[in-house]
Amino acid sequence: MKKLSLLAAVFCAFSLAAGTPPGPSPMQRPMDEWTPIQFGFTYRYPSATYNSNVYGLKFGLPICGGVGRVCGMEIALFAAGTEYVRGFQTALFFTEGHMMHGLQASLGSNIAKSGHVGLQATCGYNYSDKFAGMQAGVVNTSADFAGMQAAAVNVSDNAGGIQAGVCVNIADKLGGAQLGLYNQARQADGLQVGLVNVSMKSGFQIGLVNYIKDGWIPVFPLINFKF
Amino acid sequence: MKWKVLLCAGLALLSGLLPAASAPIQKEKGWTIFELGILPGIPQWDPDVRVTGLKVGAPFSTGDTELYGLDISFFGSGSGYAAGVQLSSIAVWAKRADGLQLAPVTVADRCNGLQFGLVNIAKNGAVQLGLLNFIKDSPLPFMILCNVYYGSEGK
Repeated sequence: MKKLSLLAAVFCAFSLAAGTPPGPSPMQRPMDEWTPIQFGFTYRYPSATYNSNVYGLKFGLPICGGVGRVCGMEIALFAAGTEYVRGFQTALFFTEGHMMHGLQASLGSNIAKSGHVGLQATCGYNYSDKFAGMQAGVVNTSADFAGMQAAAVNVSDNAGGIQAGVCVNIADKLGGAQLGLYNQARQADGLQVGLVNVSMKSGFQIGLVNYIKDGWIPVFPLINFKF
Repeated sequence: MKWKVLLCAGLALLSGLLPAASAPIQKEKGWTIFELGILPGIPQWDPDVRVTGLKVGAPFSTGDTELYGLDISFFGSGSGYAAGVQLSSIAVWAKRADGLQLAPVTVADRCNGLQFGLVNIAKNGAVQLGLLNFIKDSPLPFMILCNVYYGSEGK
């Protein structure tokens, strides 16, 4: 049970990393119908961009998206939102996908609704349900996480790896380390280093105020631990 | 009495052996949040240990390990599989990379993500931005500035 959070996160990571291509939705075109280059103007215009398979480059002028697939690069001026991307998805303000393998980058926010293996980089907000790799932004959130989260605020249900937050790191189950001013976990199987560290069940804490609710000594300055 | 003892011992042995024979032995992968590399092959990391967090090369980090997170080094970073970022001042390489490879020289069999460097080399798929871009299996194996190809593995 002790390493459950990390194992769960890593298991999710590997189920993603195994990377079977997404099963065809009725909306999607068959895999053998593809194009090397495509231009979109909104999410559904031209209509061919909505469910297409692009092996190469998909451009959004200013927006592109749809339920199709991109293997290669999707670049948009405002927003890129193709659901299945293997490669590089970028836009000035907003990127969104369902299942991602590779790099999502934008100034505003990156969202992978189902899962992401790789890197999410932004000056704003990153979200992925299941994530393996690295999230870099101002606010990072995920349900299951393996790898590294670097931001001002990191939030994850199952965090396996390192949460490095300038301000706040929050996890339900932590397997790894939290480094930040305020660190919180319900169950921490690992290290918390910060000004204030909070854990409900277990953990090893280094900081000014260290609180472990079920600990032998619940509150202790400098160092506190319960295994 | 003696044969009963022998029979019990034999049955106990069989009961111990049978499950092992019927189910393949699976070694559970270990994990660590931090790994420090010094020189190629030093220290020698167990390839069955995953890094979920940070891998640092001072100046090199190598190995056939799996990385989830950030792989950063002065001179060279190498991993078997890297999901996240590989970053170095000279070269990075991986058998497969998901995410970003950023260095003057980037090398991967396959990079689901972006290779960004002066010289980018891939075997069967990548998005490359750089001066010289090579993808071996691509119909355009060499391009300047930008090259994109994903082969049959991605389909």
